[in-house]
Amino acid sequence: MSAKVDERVETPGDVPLEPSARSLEPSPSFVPRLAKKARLRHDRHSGGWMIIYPERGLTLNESAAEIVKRCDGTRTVAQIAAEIVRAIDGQEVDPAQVERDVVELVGELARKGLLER
Amino acid sequence: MTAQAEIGAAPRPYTLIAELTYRCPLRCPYCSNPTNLAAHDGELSTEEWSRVLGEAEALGVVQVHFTGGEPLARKDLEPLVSRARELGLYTNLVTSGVPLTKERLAGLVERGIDHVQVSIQSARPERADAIAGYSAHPHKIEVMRWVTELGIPLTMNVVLHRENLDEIDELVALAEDVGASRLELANTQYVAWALKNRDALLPTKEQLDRAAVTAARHKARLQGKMDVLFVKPDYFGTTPKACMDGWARRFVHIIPDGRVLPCHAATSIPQLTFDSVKERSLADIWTSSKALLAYRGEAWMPEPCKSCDRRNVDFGGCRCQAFALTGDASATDPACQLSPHHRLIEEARLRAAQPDVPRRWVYRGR
Ligand SMILES: C[S@@+](CC[C@H](N)C(=O)[O-])C[C@H]1O[C@@H](n2cnc3c(N)ncnc32)[C@H](O)[C@@H]1O
Ligand code: SF4
Ligand code: SF4
Repeated sequence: MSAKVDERVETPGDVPLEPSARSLEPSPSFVPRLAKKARLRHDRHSGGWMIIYPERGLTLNESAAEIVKRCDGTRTVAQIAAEIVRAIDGQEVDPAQVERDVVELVGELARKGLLER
Repeated sequence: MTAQAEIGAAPRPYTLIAELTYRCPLRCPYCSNPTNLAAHDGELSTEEWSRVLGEAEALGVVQVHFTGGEPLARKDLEPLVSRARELGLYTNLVTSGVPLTKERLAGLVERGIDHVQVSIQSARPERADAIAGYSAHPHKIEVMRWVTELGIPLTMNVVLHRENLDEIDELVALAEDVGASRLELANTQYVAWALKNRDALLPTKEQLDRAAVTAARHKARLQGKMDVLFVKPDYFGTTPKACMDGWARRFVHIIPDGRVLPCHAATSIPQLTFDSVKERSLADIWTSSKALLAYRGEAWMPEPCKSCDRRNVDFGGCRCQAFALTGDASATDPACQLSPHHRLIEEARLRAAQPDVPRRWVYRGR
């Protein structure tokens, strides 16, 4: 039983995808839903959000948390990206970049087995 | 990115390992519970555990593993699960599945269990019961099915050693069949009962290599479907494991009588006196218990660790293993090839590789 709860996901991430993992790269129409073993939890100690699952946890930064909160099985990757663009209305954002970030993070979650299959 | 909360100078613990009892009907010869079980009594009460769960959450803990011994042997597991969930803790039950009825499991699920880990001894019923020293295998399979039927994510745990290391394909097939979302194939850690049984449990290098390749193949095949973890034994490596991610750093471990440890095995180091939550608050113990401070951080490290690049990667390895093998808990873990005692590991491996070495198991006592 070795566990870690301080591993972090950062988005936008530049983690190179392993060849075998490419198949898990989501399309814009993919509807991600957090796996049932994973729980999104607000951390009152740090003020941030975490995903907790059996032997690990991930500390999410703000933008990752905004994405993960929307991985509830009702929205597509494209819709999540669009919502986030709207939510940060007023600041300079490149919608295409936001969508790439969502694809990246969702792919990362899928590779970690954190999305419902 | 938010900064990690730190409590005074002490690191923040994220996980509480709550060993509710050492009682267990099974007798696995690799059991990591202490070998002097008779010397441990006076289990914490329901009220004490409830208080401690609250104190753990206040310290930063987000996750609790209810384990043992056999946690199901505690009649108050239900209120403790409820309490953990009220505190928002991710609640994991680590169990042999004995004794458990579907009704009791459903009750625990209703109270909010997030995850269940069931350990099995082998994919083959007869062998499994021979290893456990108890007839339970078919029941365990049933328990695993109940867990998935009830919609709770399941980890199937298997401790690997010479007797079952050739079963990787069968074990993976079984895990898939019962609907596990994780399969933890953990090679035996040679502490406690496992150290007594080392000659009987240590695999051959060939067995281990084959198993590792097989596990990797399944891991790739099942990616995104089932997590396959293969935990290597450090007797065959060149660097030790990052034991507990560092002494009293991310994990807080409480044994049945209330003493607070950095890991399950630390009472094996006789020089250390661990403080009990019966006498002091968990926060007080976590920040100032002498035993927890003894190997926290890097100040205690001898050479070669002291000037090694890996010292904040593996933290010098396991203190309990260092003590068990060298008699000095502050020595570099002999599993490290740079340790002056590394030959102890090599000798144990060579010894166990001899065909005629006696391999009789000493079953775990009660
Ligand atoms: C000590 S048991 C307690 C819970 C329960 N009785 C069980 O066996 O699942 C906790 C976990 O540690 C594993 N374990 C026991 N001894 C071990 C050892 N020497 N090395 C690695 N894992 C071990 C068990 O298989 C189980 O998954
Ligand atoms: S490892 Fe085996 S003997 Fe030890 S507590 Fe678990 S089931 Fe019981
Ligand atoms: S010398 Fe110490 S820190 Fe370096 S690898 Fe070995 S155990 Fe780890």
